[in-house]
Amino acid sequence: MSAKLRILVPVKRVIDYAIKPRVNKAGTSVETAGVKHSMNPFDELSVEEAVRIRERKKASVDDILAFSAGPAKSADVLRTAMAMGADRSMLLEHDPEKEGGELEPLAVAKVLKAIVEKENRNLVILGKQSIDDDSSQTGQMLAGLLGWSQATQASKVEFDGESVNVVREVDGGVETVKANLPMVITTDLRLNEPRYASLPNIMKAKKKEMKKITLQELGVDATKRLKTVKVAEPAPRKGGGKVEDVDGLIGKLKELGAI
Amino acid sequence: MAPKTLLLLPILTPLTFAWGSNQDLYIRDAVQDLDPYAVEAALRRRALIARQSQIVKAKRNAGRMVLSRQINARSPKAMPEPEPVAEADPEDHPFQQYDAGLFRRDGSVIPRDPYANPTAEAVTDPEAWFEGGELHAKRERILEAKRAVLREKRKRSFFAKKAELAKREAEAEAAANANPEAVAEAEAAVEAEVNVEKRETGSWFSWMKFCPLSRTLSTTPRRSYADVVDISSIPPTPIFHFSETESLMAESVSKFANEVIAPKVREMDEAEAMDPTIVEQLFEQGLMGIEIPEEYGGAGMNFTAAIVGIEELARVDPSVSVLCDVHNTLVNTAILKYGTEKSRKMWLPKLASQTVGSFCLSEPVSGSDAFALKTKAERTSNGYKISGSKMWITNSMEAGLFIVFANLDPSKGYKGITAFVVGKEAKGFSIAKKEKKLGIRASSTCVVNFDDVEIDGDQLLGKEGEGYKYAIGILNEGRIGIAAQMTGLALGTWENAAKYVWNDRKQFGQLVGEFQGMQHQLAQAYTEIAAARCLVYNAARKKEAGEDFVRDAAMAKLYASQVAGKVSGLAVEWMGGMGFVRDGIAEKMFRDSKIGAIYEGTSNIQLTTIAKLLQKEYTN
Repeated sequence: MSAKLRILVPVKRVIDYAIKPRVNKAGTSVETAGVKHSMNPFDELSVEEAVRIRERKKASVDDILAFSAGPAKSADVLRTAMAMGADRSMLLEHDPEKEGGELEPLAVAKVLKAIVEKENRNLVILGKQSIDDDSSQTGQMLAGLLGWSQATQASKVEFDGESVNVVREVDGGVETVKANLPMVITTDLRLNEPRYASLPNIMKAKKKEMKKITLQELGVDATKRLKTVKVAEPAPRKGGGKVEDVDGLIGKLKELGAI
Repeated sequence: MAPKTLLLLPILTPLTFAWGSNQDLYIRDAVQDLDPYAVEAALRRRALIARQSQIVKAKRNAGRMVLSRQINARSPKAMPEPEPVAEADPEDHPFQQYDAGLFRRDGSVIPRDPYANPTAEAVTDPEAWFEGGELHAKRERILEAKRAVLREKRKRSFFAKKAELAKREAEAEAAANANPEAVAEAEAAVEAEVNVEKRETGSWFSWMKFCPLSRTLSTTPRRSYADVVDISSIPPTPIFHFSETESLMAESVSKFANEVIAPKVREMDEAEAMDPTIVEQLFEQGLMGIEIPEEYGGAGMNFTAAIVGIEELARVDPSVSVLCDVHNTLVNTAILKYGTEKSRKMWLPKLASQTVGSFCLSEPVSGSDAFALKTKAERTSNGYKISGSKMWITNSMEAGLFIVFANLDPSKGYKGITAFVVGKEAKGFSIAKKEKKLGIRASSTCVVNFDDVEIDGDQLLGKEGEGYKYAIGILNEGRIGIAAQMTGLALGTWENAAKYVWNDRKQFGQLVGEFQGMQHQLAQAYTEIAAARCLVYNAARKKEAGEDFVRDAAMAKLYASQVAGKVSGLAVEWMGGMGFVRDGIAEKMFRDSKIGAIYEGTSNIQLTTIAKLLQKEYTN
């Protein structure tokens, strides 16, 4: 058995995946007021994976720490993470309304780096991207800042002594990468199926610790480097046509001059 | 029971006397580490003393009356006579009896145990009640400050109060001695009451049921201040304000229902059978032990959480919802509230983890007139023998445990009705016929036969002859559950139709939901659903706060079932052909809604209850 794992699972509160996002009137961002929010689906995968690593007992897990940076309401997703199996959590309150917009990926990576160092983590599992900004940068930046190995878009994670085998889906097949701890793993859709928080676990999560921290405490400079110029809705889709069979399809394509 | 209790008494008697008649709180706090049975015995002893002192108090009261009459004689305006305590007519119909306050002699509820005394639950666990939202922290601070003040006050004023009380009582007694007639009258009244109890149950100890005896001992210091914390000045919240736990739960259950149950709804309805994997997953999610405390393997949540769960399930499938509702609000509650510690330990862990429960009250001859039931029970050498037949038994196919109401002594009428716990494997137990129904078809409803089913003595639930009280009490709560099932159904079918008319269906070049005729109907229906939900959650919160909720529960169930019927019918119409075919859920929800006006008290029974309580309030 290898070293004990001290896992960090960053989670983000985003607009629920089932909601159709709308651009606000000013055209500066997506409308978030009065919209249902939940945990970023890729982050659910990473919480689930962390809990499964513990349950599979291939590697010994010391502690699973969930972390979120965002408005005070982000406490909800941390509670969900703890109800799913995280041991404790930390919340960095950052209200995008008051503080000039969301934290940028680099700032988040810096914050995570500070947490990793402060809390002595040796494995970070995070979603490959958040479904609101779709930047898909944080994991990679974090690995770079820490100087750790990274395995992105994991569809399978296996522990083998000190090293970790991660299977990723790539064009034309799967690729297996091997790295030693400490490392950063980002999760992809087919890694696992996240559990539902069961009622007894929801009650247990109430008793788990949720610590609040600030940017100042972490000594992270979150000055904005990017400027959002404009947010616009995609052009509405033009209705397509239906064809009866293959002949119809060929006829239609010819008619449109496509073939 | 009684001799064993008496044997234990000497051990704790000195302690008991040392505490005297001071608050239970101190005792409960101080004895946490002692043997609970011994402590219970001590509490019984205390209650005995309390009863004796009741006679003394009656004397003093009589004395006070004499004093006040003397004062009145002097003043020109006569003071009104003290209100007589409502006494139930024992020959009344049982429902009427309950309404008249059978459990509430001298107008107050005497808590029997923490589950029956929701005030304790509600206030002692402010997190469950008040957490979440912006006001949470504020409320917590207020509560904490109040507790601190109370603790301090109690410390300081105890001796001062004692002295003052002694003074007042001495005055009253002196007055009483001056008027022996009134005293004799009061004494006779108290004696008569005690004698009635003796006659009814054959044991002088039976009056103990009116004392907080079977109350489980507190395990948290916070709980012990429950009875005294005044929450009246805490800022009130909207009825739909959920605690953090409740909203997390609503989210989790809704996700589970939409992802796991929804794909199977149609299939289960057509097959008229519950998918066993769904039942299994309900257990896994903890949805079958919502209110069962953690020590018995449940989730240990509050009543409103159960209501939230039932409503969320009903939004997707009212059949699954009713399975969960009957199991939680009827079966689990019955054992939790009325079972002995032994039976709780025996049944609750199973009910929370693997065994579906079923509640057998109705019979071919007794529906709304529930206590006309004909199933009989007899005592045997080591237990009881049950024979009879039950009808309309929800969950009977899936259940492994049945709460059965049978009459142990028909000569006593409904007062012979006793509740038993019967396992599916019991010899002589059989499921006779599965009903083919209009709605909630995936939920099983069967005729269940008991052919001389022999059970052990410890399968008695609570006490002999108290089954009718349990049934009334449980069904009062159960109504809120059914009301939640109905509002969930209404919400589910409304959302389904709204999505269709506002996203998919176009006529005359626009979405049909754009027409004002549709819009106004959708708005009206949603308003009615919201109104019904207010009634439901208000009843649930009142129940949790330990307030009288019988009328609220009846109104909630009545109105929620009416709204569900109306909205689900309209939803079919809004969706046109798509609502009428058996592809979507619209027609299913319409069929399912009908049961809401029938089970757990028909609409007419609800109206009767509401009217009776109103009439009582408005009768001079």
